[in-house]
Amino acid sequence: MSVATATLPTYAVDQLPPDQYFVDPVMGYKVEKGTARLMMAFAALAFVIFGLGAVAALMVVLTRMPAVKLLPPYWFYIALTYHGVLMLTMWVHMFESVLWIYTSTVLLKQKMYGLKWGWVAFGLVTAGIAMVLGAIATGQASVMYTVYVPLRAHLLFYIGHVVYAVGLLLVLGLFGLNMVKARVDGTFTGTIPLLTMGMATANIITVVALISAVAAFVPAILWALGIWVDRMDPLTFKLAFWGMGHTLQYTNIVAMVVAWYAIVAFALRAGSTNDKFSRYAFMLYFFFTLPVYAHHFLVDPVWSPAYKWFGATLVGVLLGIPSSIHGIAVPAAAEVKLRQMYGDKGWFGFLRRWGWGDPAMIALFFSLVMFGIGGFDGTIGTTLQLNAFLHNTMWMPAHFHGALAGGTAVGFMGLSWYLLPALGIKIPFKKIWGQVYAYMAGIGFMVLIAAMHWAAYLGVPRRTATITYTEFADLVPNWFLPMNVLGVGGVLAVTGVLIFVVMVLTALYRAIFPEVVAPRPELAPVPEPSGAAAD
Amino acid sequence: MAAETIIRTPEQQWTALDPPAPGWDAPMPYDKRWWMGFLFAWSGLLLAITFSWFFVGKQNVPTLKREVTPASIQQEVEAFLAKYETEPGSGIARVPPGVDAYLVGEMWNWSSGLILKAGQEYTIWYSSLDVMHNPIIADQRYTFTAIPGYAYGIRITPTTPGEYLVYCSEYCGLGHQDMATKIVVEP
Ligand code: HEM
Ligand SMILES: [Cu+2]
Ligand SMILES: [Cu+2]
Repeated sequence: MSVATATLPTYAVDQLPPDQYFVDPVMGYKVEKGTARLMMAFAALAFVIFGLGAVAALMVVLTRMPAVKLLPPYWFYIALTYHGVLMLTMWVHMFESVLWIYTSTVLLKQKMYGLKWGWVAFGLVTAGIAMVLGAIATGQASVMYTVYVPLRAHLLFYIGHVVYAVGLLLVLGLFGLNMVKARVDGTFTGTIPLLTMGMATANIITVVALISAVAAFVPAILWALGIWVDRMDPLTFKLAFWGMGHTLQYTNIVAMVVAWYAIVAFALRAGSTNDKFSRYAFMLYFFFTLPVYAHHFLVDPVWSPAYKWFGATLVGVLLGIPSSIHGIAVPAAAEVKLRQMYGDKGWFGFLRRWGWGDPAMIALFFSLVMFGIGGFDGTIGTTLQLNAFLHNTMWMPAHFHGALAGGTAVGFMGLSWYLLPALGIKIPFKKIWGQVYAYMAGIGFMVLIAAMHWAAYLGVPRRTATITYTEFADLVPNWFLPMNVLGVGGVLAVTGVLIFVVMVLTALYRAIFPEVVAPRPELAPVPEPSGAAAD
Repeated sequence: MAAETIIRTPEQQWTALDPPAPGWDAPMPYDKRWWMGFLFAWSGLLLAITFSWFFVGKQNVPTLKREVTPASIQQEVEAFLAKYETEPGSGIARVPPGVDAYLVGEMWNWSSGLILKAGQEYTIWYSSLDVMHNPIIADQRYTFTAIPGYAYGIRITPTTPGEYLVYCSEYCGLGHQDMATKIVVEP
C-alpha cells in the first residue's frame, strides 16, 4: 500500500477546505489565504520603500535643480544614497519577491510550501533594510549605491546588506522548492506558464549575482573592521561589485518583462503571440547576461581593449536582442487580441483601442517606450569608443531611469492595478486616480529622462551636489536650463509615484487589518464559477 | 475601480499565466524567425562598426597604463610641478610638447592645471592618491577614471584653443562638487 503519498499533506489548492482559500475576482484562481498574506506583507514593504525612495528622489531632484538648490552637499549625498539604495536595491526586489511567490504558488495551483521560512525571509529582509537605512542616517555611509572602496561606510551598512541578501536568497530558494514541490506532488504537470519560466530565469540570474555580492562584501566588511584585509584594490572590488550590480539589473529587466506579459493577460486576456518566441528570448538572457559587468570598466586602466570589447561591447549589444524580442512580442500580443475584439481597423487602428483609460495599459505603454529608450542608451553606453564621452555624465542616470524607473518601476505600477485585486485586495479609489498616477508618472519620467539626455549632451556630471564650481564659475558651460527641466519632470514623476503609493498602501492596510476598517464582504470566498463543490 | 469580474472561458485560457497552448513548441512562424534573424544581423553590423573603429577611428580608449603607489605618483607630480609650474604655488603647469603631464586627484583637488599647445600630442597621466576620481574635460566630455594604485596614460592632441573646465565626476566624498581645475589650450 502506498502510504507515502496518502499521508503527505497536500499542497494542491484544489484539495483545501473552502475556508482556507478564496477565488480571486480577476482571473478566477484559487489563492490560499496564508500564501496571500505573505505576498501582502512583501507588497506592503515594497510600496513603503517605493514611497520613501520617491521622497528621497524629490530631495535629490530639487537640489540638482539650479533654480531651487534645496539641500547642502552633506544632506544631498545622504539623500542620493537613500534614493539609490531604496530604489535599486530594495523596492524592485521586494516587488519581485511578490512575483516569485505568486508565480510559484498561485500559478502552479498550490499553497506555499515552507510558508514559515517565507516569514523568516521577510523578517530578515526587513531587518537588513532597517540596518542599511539606519546606517545611512548616521551620515557615515554616504557612499552611494556603488559603495566603491576605498570610500569607507559605517559597518552596519555592510552588515545590513548581508542580512538583506540572506533573506532574499531564502525567497529565491523557496521559489525553487515550490516548483519542485508542485512537480513531486503532481499538482502541476506539463509545461510551466511563461510567467513562471520568466521568474525562474530571474531567480537564477539573482543567485549568480548574490554569489558575486559575497565576493564583494565579505572582504569589504573585513576591511571596514580592520581585520585581515588592510588594502582593498579598488578595481577588484569594483569588478565583484558589478558582477552583482549589473547582473541584478537583468533580474529587474526579466521581472519587468514578466509584468508586461501579466498586464496584457490581466487587462486583455491576451497571451504571447508565440510562446516559443518568448521562451527563446528568456533563454537568451542567460547566455548574454553573465559577463555583462565588464562595461563598467571601459574607461578604467585595466584589461586590453580586446577584452573590453568582448566582455562589454559584444555582450552588451547582443543583450539587446532578447529585449527587442519581448518588446515586439508584448505589444503584438495586445494587437492581436485587440484586432480580434474590435476588428481590423487599418495598420494602427488597434492603438486607438489600446486602453488609454486603463491604468495598467497606460503604464504598459510608457514602460515599453521608456525601456526602449533606456535600452538604446545602454547599447550606446556599452560601445567602447562612445563610453569615453559618456561615463559618469548624466547619460548614466538617463540610461537607468529609462530602463529601470521608466521601464521596470512604471511597469510594476501598472501591474499592481490588477495584481492587488488578484490577491483579493480591493483598491478603494476611483479609476480616475489610477489614470492620474499612470499618466503623471509616465509623462514625468519622460520629461525627466529627456532632460537627463540633454544635460548629458552638455557634459553635466552625475552625483554632484552643485554645478557652479566656485573658482572656475566662468568656465562652466550652460548647464542650467536642462537641469531646471529635470526638476520639473522629477516633481511630476514623484507626484505620480506618491499618489500611487498612497492608493496601494491604503488598499493593503484595509486588507491586512480588515477588523480596523469596516467589514468587507467582498473578501469572502467567491463561489466556484462552475458551481461545483460550493459549500 | 479595478477589473470587472471576468472568469475565463476555455478559449480565453492561453495567457502567460497559464500553461502554453497545445502545439506551442511547433516551429516558429516565418515573421518571428525573420525578426530574430534581423536582430542578430543588426547586432553584427553594430559590432563590426565598433570593432573596425579600432583601426580606422581617431578616438579610441587609451591603452597606456601602469601600476603605481600613491607615494610614487606623488613624487612624479612634485617633480613635474617643480619644473613646469608657471610660478611657484600657482598649481598651473605650462607643459612643453613631448613632456608627460599629470592630473592626479586627491580629496578634493587636482594636482595641477595644465597649459597645452594646440596641435601637439600629449600624454596625461591620470591617477589618485586616495579614492576614485574621474576627471572630465568639459565641452569635450572626455572622461577617464583616476584610480588609486594605477596610472592611466591618456593621449590627446588638443586642436581647439580655449579654456576648458576639468571637473570630477566620480563621487569622492563631501567636497566632490568643488573638485575642479582647468586646461588651457594655447594656439
Ligand atoms: C520618483 C521619481 C524619480 C526621480 C525624480 C528621480 C530622480 C533622480 C535623480 C535626479 C538622480 C540623481 C542623478 C545624479 O545626481 O547623479 C537619481 C539617481 C538615481 N535614481 Fe532616480 N528618480 C526617480 C525614480 C527612480 C526609480 C523608480 C529608480 C529605480 C527603480 C531610480 C533609481 C535611481 C538610481 C539607482 C540612481 C543613482 C543613485 C546613485 O548615483 O548612486 N530612480 N534619480
Ligand atoms: Cu574626485
Ligand atoms: Cu569626485
